[in-house]
Amino acid sequence: MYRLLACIALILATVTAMDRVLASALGDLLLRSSDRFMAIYRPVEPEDVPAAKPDRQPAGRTDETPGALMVKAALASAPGQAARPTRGPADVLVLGNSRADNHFPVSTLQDMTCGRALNLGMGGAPTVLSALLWEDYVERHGAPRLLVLEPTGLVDNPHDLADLPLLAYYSPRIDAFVRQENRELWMANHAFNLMTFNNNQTMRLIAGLLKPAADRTLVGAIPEPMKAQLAAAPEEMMTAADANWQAMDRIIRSAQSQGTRVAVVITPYFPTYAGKLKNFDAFFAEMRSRLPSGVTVIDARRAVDKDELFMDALHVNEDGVRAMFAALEPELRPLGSCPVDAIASLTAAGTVVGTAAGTVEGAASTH
Amino acid sequence: MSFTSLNFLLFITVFSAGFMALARTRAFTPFLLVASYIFYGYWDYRFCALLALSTFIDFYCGLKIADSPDRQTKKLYLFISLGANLGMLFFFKYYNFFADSAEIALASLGIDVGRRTLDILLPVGISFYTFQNLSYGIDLYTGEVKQPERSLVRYATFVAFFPQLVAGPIVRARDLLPQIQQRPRDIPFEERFAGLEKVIWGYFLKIGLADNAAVVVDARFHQPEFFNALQHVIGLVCFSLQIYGDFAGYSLIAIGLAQIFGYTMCQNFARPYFATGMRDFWRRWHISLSTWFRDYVYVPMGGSRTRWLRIRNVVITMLISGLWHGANWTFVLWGALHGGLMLVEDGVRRLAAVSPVRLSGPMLAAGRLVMIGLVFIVVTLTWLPFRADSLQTVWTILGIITHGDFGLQQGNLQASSLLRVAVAGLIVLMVDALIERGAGRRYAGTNVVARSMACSALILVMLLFGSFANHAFIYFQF
Repeated sequence: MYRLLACIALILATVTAMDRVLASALGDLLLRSSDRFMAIYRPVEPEDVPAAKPDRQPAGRTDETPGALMVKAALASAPGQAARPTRGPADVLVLGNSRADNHFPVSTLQDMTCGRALNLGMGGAPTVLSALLWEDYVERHGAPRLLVLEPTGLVDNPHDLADLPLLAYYSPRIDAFVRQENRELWMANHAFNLMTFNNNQTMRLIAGLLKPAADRTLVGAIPEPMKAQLAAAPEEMMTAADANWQAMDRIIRSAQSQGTRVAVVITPYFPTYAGKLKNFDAFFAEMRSRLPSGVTVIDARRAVDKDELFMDALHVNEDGVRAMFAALEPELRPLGSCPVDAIASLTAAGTVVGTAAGTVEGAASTH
Repeated sequence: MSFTSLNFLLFITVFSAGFMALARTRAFTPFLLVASYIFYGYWDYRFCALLALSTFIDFYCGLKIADSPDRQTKKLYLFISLGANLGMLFFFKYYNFFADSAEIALASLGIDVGRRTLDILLPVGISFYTFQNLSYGIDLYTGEVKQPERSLVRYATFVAFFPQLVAGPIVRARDLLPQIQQRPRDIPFEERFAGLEKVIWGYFLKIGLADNAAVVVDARFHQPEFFNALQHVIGLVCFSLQIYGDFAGYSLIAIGLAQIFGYTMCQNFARPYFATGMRDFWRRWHISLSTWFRDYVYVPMGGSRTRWLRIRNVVITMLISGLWHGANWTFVLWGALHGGLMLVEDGVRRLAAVSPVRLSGPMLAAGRLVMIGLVFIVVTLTWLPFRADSLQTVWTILGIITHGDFGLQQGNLQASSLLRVAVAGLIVLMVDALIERGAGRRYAGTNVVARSMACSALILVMLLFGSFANHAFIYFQF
């Protein structure tokens, strides 16, 4: 029996040593992935961090109109070049859950805002997790010019870790959060570091090593059985935990304090499902009332209404994203860094955009 | 407690310490009994009372069967034992099924009898220990077991022996009782190490293969309408892998643990997906159950003495086997399908026997491969009713598959879990194929350090690709 125990000790020692070596190698390898989350943690070269951001609105200053900022942006850069710097923080950062992840393709966003965009939307992520990603990003890269926040993560369970645990390997902040929320998982991950990489996110990162990360827009249409199921589903309430409200407030105040414009964009809901949400309007009205001043709210909940433009109850498909962006454009484009000419041509373009924009409920409003 | 829980890790550590301290003393058997009841009672302490009651009845009946001077009295006590065991099994496992089925049948005739089902908790592993107890009484009656166990503690330890209590293998009294009576053997280190390897391989089958496959399977069976034919075929293949990984994994952990502590248990799985026919499949799948049914149901009914007896007995045995697995018509259908397939195979064999064509050499090898593939496909299809929660689900999935939409679907298809299943499945296929070709013996002669490294590599793969969501073993419900 003692020889067997010695063998068990040998196996454990080998596993522990190899676990450390392999986890370290895997951690370094995955940093090279083109996956968007690795953009947060990839080491920043000294010249990457801009010393000053002359076109950024200083904290607390509200005397400059958006129009003046757009003119500045147009004068500061030639279209398509300096407006899309390859280094420094992204111009536009997207935060939220899968509705942010799947509804804001980076390429479309870049075209619309004339700036480099990064989508940090994470499937199933409550706003609490978005706040952690925001803090990690700003700490390492500086603040973006524009933050697009899809707020549906407010109703997600604030204790749900989604795909976050892998990032704990790179972020002490996230590691501390995982420890607070799921001590058993945290202990397992620290006992065997390879377990940190045992999740779906690793698969995506590995895919990102093999090919450049593509937009994560969904393809397909909502199946008939799902429509029937949604039609037969009971009514439900949208509720948000305090932790999520506080996290949203923290993100917005932090962004504003660093001169970042904030746009809260509520993306479309499948109409049948929206009809089942008893407090659908009241919830988002409450959300508006909680937002600090200076935040642009773009309510596109009903901007897409055709069944074939949805993938499921909460996500639009490729065509749905196109329709959604057509509706968002008049409000979203001015928040970007496009030259004034582009804005003017947009205004002159007239009917198509105007018609689509007409579906954005109540248009954009600034709080 | 489940083998995959942290509590079990703690339990087995304490048990090992106790084993090392007490294995040579008279206190070991009571210690093993207490440990086994703690292991079982961890699910629900009330289950222990039922286990104890069943144990006591069979212990008492066993003594009476052995000591009674005449055949009539022996038969009386055998019937008491059979009645008590089957009565408990029927009440806890089948009462609601039959009551529900009767209600539906009567309702279809326009007779409303109201709700007659009861709120009954199914004790974990009741089918396994009931069969173990039944075989003890029958073996004493038929003389297969010469002497009854006269110590209640030893008999209770045999019934409750924790490695195999809740999901088998179903060990016969003649195999395990003598080992309990003699206390653990002082086995060579190589044998203990082989036990450890079995445990690690069992965990790999469960955590690496079965639990990852479960994610894919559960999604498809939970909302079958959302998946097309291709996705359901993938789901069925994954269930084939899941049930093999889950059950063979449990059996290996049980057999390996017993082996580490000096007890020998029968093999329960012998690479069933390498079977070249249905008969061969049942020689490799859940061996302890199929041999139990062979010895206590099939043979006593006349076996295959005539062609008619063979047909009747195969059908009855497979139907009972289906019902043993669960109180649902889906399991009866599964049993009927297997019975039918075995009879079809009988017919094909008869035709082949009179055929002038004889395969040899490469043609024979190719034919074997084709048969392995064919048997896997057929067995995989029969798992559909086994996994489905109702016949309605079976028809829904069959309808989707026959509709023939084999296009690539978009959306949440558990791609990550599928990748993990592919990794684990390839490793299992490779290892099983090597063992099938006789590499096991050569491997057993390899240096222990090299084998320890292989175990370490397997654990590392598990850490990276395993599913640690702690899914219950499928066979616990049986």
